[in-house]
Amino acid sequence: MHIVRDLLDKELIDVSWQHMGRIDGLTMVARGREQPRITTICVGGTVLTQRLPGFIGRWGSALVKRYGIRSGVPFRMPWSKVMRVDRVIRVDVNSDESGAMASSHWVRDHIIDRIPGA
Amino acid sequence: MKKILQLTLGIVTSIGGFLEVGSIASSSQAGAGFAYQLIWPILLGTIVLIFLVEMSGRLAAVSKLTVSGAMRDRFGFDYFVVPLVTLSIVIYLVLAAEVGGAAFALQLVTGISYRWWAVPVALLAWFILWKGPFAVVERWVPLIGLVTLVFIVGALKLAPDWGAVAHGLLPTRPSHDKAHYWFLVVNILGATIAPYLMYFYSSGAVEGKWDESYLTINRFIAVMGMSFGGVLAIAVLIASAEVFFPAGMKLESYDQIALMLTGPLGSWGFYLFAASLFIGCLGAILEIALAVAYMTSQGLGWRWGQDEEPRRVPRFVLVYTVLLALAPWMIVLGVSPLAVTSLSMALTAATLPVAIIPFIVLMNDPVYAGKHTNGWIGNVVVVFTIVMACILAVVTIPLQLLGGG
Amino acid sequence: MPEEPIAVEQLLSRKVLDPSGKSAGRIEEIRATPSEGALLVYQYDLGPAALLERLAVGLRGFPLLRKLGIGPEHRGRCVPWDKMDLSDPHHPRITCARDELRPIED
Repeated sequence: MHIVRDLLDKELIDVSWQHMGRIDGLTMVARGREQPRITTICVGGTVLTQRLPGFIGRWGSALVKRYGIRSGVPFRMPWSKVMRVDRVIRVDVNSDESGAMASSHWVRDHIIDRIPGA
Repeated sequence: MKKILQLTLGIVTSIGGFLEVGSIASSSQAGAGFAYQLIWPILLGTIVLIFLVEMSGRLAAVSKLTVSGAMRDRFGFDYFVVPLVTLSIVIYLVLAAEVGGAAFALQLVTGISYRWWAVPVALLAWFILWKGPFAVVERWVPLIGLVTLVFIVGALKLAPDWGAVAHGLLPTRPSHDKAHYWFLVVNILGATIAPYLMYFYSSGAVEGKWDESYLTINRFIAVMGMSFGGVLAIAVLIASAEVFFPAGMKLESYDQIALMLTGPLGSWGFYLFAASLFIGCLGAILEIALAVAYMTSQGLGWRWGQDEEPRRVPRFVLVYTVLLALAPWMIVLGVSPLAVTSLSMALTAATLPVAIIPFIVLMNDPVYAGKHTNGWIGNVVVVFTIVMACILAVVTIPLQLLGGG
Repeated sequence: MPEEPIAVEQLLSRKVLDPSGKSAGRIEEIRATPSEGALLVYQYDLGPAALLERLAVGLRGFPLLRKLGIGPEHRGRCVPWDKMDLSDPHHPRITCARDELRPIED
């Protein structure tokens, strides 16, 4: 599997076929001389802003940490939840209950629902 | 049958993309300043647009991804952020110009200053998006937009010299005022080849759940839809050439442009012009607001869809809400609508390379275009457009300063 | 290898140096294979300009550009996982000489 070509930035679909965001980042670990393992998918938070170069990235990350829903902490999901890798990545998670849609729910509850006629 | 009805997607894309304030302004100024000499940039822009729109539709039908979605998918966030930011800024200026155009149309009819109309126009547009599914934009705008046919009627009634018109289809050297001539060329191209059309059209295709069986109708829609807009823009130019060029008028405001149809059509012409300007601009406002919401949501991975209930796609709705809330203020503060229009067209031309270059890769990558990757003609057109766009990007600001209206 | 988790997306485009300080290229791609609920990294692909490659990969099938020399001619090198030292993820290093690396085969 090619990480950049096949996984990074690709769409995530949850267990009920709902759109769940995109793979914004991946986490790799290794202990000592062990072979490195990619264990976690990251969505949202400062993951994207930290991919921006130089001071833009730092400012962006600072803004997201200050005003973001989870103070910039991204939603993390273990790789073991992945059911299928295709052009989209299907995962065994319920997006609405998992916390992945936290900022979407916040906008819905604090802004959309307050507009008359919602 | 359903597929034929999708022709309306093409027409609405065209109306919102073509018969909006930028096209009306630049075509009018072209006719007034140079008679029929500047028909060729309209023709060129239309042909390029047909190819680009067809590619957007083909991408959507085969990959089920929109243009922005495919860009994020294929190039990653690191690249995507560049078009996202630059195009959002430029598109905001175009949006402000369209609000100005619609507001001005209302001033023509009511006599109340356009500055008072800017906020109501933005509110109306927001309300249509908030309450209406995609079909409202897709079906009603073209229906009401048929009023723009009045330009064709007007142009025909003015009995232009068709030989001169045909001559204008090919590029000729300007007889005078070179800087202004090329400034108008840039403006016409920037008004015609607007990237937001591709984001809107491909998103409309995905909302309409197109698949590979739509490929033929997509070609038909791209050709008919964009040609419709192109013919209308040429009609505006012809009417302007007949009415304003002999008098040597330099068009500085929409008040003057509005007189274009009163010759052939009397006072009806004035009101029909206002109605056409209004609906063209409103169509553009709706398309632009949706295009930015699509581009942002699809690129950042948020749920999106004009056909979805707002509660299900809150961040998508938030984008067009914020955009429309910010849109009227330049106009309210009294910035000249024509000046905003001109600047927005110039900047659109300047940022075209950013929007078009990804196409050459996407449309040749079988992962996204399946078995329907570009043929050599398509690639030649895209490469030509990229080269042209890069040239435009370099000359546009100097021309704006040297030859600007 | 560090104990701290590494953000894979930030490894991209990082320049990789060999022990003598020569540049071996930039990390363009990482290859991994599924194993026990995670992905086991087995290879890093290095290239001249990483993210530019991401643009150019689609041009492989574009004969004109290949003639102009843009495309597969710019083959990079691959680094097996055990030759990559990521103790400082901002400055990746290979543990063998640059010229010992094999070219990428697809």
